Amino acid sequence: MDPTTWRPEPLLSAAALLAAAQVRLADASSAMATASGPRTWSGPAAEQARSCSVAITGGLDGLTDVLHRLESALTRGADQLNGLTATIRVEELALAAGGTDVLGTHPETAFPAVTRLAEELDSQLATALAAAIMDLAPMSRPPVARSLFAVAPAALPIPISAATPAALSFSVSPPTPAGDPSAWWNGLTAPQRESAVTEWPEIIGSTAALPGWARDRANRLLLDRAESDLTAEVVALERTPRTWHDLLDGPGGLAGEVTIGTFGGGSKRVAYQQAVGKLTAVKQTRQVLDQHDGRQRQLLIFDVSGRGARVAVSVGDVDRADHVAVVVPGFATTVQRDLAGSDRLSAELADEARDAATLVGDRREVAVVSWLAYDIPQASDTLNSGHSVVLRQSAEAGARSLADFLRGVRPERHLTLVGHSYGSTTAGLAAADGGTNVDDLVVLGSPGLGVEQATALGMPVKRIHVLEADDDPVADLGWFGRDPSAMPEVDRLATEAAQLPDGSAGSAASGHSRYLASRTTSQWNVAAVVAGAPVVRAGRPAPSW
Amino acid sequence: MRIEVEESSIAQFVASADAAAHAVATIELHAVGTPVMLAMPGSRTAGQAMRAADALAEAVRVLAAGLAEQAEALRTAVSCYADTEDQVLAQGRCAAGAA
Repeated sequence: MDPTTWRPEPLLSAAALLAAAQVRLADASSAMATASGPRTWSGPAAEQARSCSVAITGGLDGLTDVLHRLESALTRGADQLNGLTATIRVEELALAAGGTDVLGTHPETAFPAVTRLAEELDSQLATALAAAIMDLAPMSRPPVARSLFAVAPAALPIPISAATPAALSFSVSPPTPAGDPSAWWNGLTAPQRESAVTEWPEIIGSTAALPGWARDRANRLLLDRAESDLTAEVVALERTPRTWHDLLDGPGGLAGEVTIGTFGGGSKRVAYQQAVGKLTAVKQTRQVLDQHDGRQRQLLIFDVSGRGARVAVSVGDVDRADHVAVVVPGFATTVQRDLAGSDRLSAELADEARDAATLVGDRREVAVVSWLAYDIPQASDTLNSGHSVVLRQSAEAGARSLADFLRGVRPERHLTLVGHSYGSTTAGLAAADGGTNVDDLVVLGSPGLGVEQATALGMPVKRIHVLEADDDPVADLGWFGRDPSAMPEVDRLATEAAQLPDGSAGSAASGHSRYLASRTTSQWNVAAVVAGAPVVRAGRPAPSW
Repeated sequence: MRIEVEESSIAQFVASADAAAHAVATIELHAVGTPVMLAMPGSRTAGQAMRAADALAEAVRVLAAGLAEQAEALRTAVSCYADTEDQVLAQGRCAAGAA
């Protein structure tokens, strides 16, 4: 979300459209009010005709009321956005005067207070729009007039059956933020749960405490919506100003704003690039979900409300699996570019974990989650204090989301958290958050776990497994707390070529990014931890750079 | 048999329903989502606005269809009453002729 790209004028255009619609509805309502039917007409047909008229007039008035409330909300929103835009301009000038490259700084970093206000405004307007959608739901059933008069003349006066517009009501109410989602869910019948998924996908899809199947179904609905919304957004942003001008409200409308805004064409470009990136991420997610490789996948997190997409996809059924692993990638990973690769590694890890489990006679289910659900630092963010890979802000924010996700995994499952590179810092901080039920933590090429002592993670130190390839320079940085491989108490696992417990040969992992490559000793070790199977421990001291 | 209905009065009822249907049918609310989306790209509001626009357009469509249906049903009623009166008159004439 980038409030520097927001403009109040189009909100007023939308409000004007709503006002114009209200005038027409008022005309229609008044026409219907005067048309109560001739006084000489009586009997069931006349009664039914009048009843239908009253119902329709009620619908017209109801819609007018919704439009009025939306118009007010948008007008108020435009006022607030006006103030917000002015504040941003003042702050930009102040930053520019101080020599800051405003275009190169992410808005959340440059204007934290403005971002908070923008989030509040966004929440208010989104809530008003959601309320309007709910209010409109009963209106999707029309007053029934059809066939009431289509009878043979000889049958007059016409027999009328009772026919009144059916007001639909939502079969369930959503969980309240302060409530217990699990208790709420457990109190629903099966049809109510089905209904909740379709009526409240935003809530169901993002509530970690709910079953994976429900989150999966809700998030797939959101995926469909996002594809449609983002496609429209990209198309709209691609249009020339003249087209927008024509589309909206003529002279003085949006056309002038999008090109002469705070950042000139820059903010439009940023909005466009973000929209294209998120749309690509949506398509990538769909491709991953739609693979026909015989593996079940669940879309456990789907969120495109931020500057990029946040997604978590499991290979396997997290509701049924006895061994669940959550893999957190690191620096420069994006959903649009890397989800398919992460999913492939997760699938191979799940297969390897099943193989490893059979060594100890364990044939229980395994699920591996590719967790790309935090604001992962990108190369372009390096000088951005809010998202830089050299700072821990992204890891801290991601850890909070990750901890919430982990708390949703049932405690009776064997849960392994796997973090690679910057993702290991995120994973370490999440484990340290407490109450996450993580049984084993595996860190690959870690620049630090965000703590100085392994004991600070709040889990048995021997269940912290550290893998470091010989030629991985990142793993020795110790940038975010003490180098994990230098923590004496942790379980150091081999990455070099070795004979594996199943008798096969494991190859060496080289560099920073091949810990989960097929048939490597490191891949076996991670899979073995996930499955609770024998591992290959590191046989020599960790290399030091 | 006597039917106490003035078809012309019902016809006025039809005209009102037609006028109302026309007024509602010309309302265009699908476009409401686009300016909101352009006002606040990347926000939750933008996504909700597109869905709200769909819901508004659907509500308008349903109301316009209801009004058109009401007008049509009333037109049918006018015709039915007229036919029935003709039939009754014809039957009366036949009965008188037979007598």
